[in-house]
Amino acid sequence: MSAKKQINMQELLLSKSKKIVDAAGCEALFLEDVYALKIAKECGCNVYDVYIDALKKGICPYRYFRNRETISIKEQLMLAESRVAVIGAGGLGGQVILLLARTGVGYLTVVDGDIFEETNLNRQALCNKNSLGKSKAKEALASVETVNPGIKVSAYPVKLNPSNASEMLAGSDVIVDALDNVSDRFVLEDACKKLGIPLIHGALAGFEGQVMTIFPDDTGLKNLYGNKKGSENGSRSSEDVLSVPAMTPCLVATLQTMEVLKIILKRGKIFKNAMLYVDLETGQMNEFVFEKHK
Amino acid sequence: MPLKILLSSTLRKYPPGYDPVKGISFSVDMEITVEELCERINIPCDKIKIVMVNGKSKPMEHVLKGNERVGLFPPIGGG
Repeated sequence: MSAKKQINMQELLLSKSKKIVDAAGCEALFLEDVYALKIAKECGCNVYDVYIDALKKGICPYRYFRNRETISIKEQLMLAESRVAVIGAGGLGGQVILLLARTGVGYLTVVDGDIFEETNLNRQALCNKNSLGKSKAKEALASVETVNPGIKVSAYPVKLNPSNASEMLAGSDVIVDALDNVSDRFVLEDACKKLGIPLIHGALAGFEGQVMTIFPDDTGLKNLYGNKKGSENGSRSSEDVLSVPAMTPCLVATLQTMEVLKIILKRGKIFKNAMLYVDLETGQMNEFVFEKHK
Repeated sequence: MPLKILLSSTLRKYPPGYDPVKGISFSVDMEITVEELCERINIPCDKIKIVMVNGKSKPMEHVLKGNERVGLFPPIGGG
């Protein structure tokens, strides 16, 4: 953006923002989307750039008004400047992508080589009668645009493999494992370890699910699946046997998205070298810690 | 010595009438390894990927001493 347009943007941001005094008597400036879109058009930039500039000036995009007691404007800027890659845009990924977009993570990379089919309708947030037969990655991009125009999305309608992973994932702050099989998860973990990027693993079967955050030096998936060569043995996997009803990916995706937020915002407790295990049928959520054994 | 055994996912089909809320209450006279325990309650050891004793991971050879909660997990990979 040119210096002239930058000055124009600053003036427009201040003139179009509205001051709101909340119930506690605190004053803050907010920018409604209708003006964010106009400013972006006038300055020849993206809504993403408008949000970033607004947040830097302490002006909160109005869409985040109901975040601000929990996520400060400074933190909203940290999210807007972050890059998260979501690998898989199905049961887990669809929910994660929508949650990240609504929360305001500014840059999303979506990787999925599949297309939506009828049996995805029971659980996959981005799957509907109009998206059947279409690329999951491209539908993710289209959905995010309708949810939050302030998010930049790179959609790759390809299957992740050892040779294409680094090109698509380099530069990410956090990567989300939203895949649906064990062997692909190991391919992703290898790539994350090589790139030095934390990985948020999530998996499920039936009404049960698990979440684990894996930093590059952690043992990671080996704790959950043993050695990769023996992980599937050609037999039917638990998820095939038990199926995947809608509620479980929704909850596991929420927990994964929280791990992303905690890493970016440096808040809370991260499930590192531990498995957060949930059982929706019994209503239990437990942490299990992995210890090193000889 | 009493033990409480909790099974996850596909392991739940092995003990007849398994109740996921209550788990299995089991009592043994002497120390026993996790592997021996699984044989006693007819859970195939090759189906188990993770063993948690009182919330911490242990190998199948881990010796149980009583008054412990044993969680047994197969691999799950769906998404």
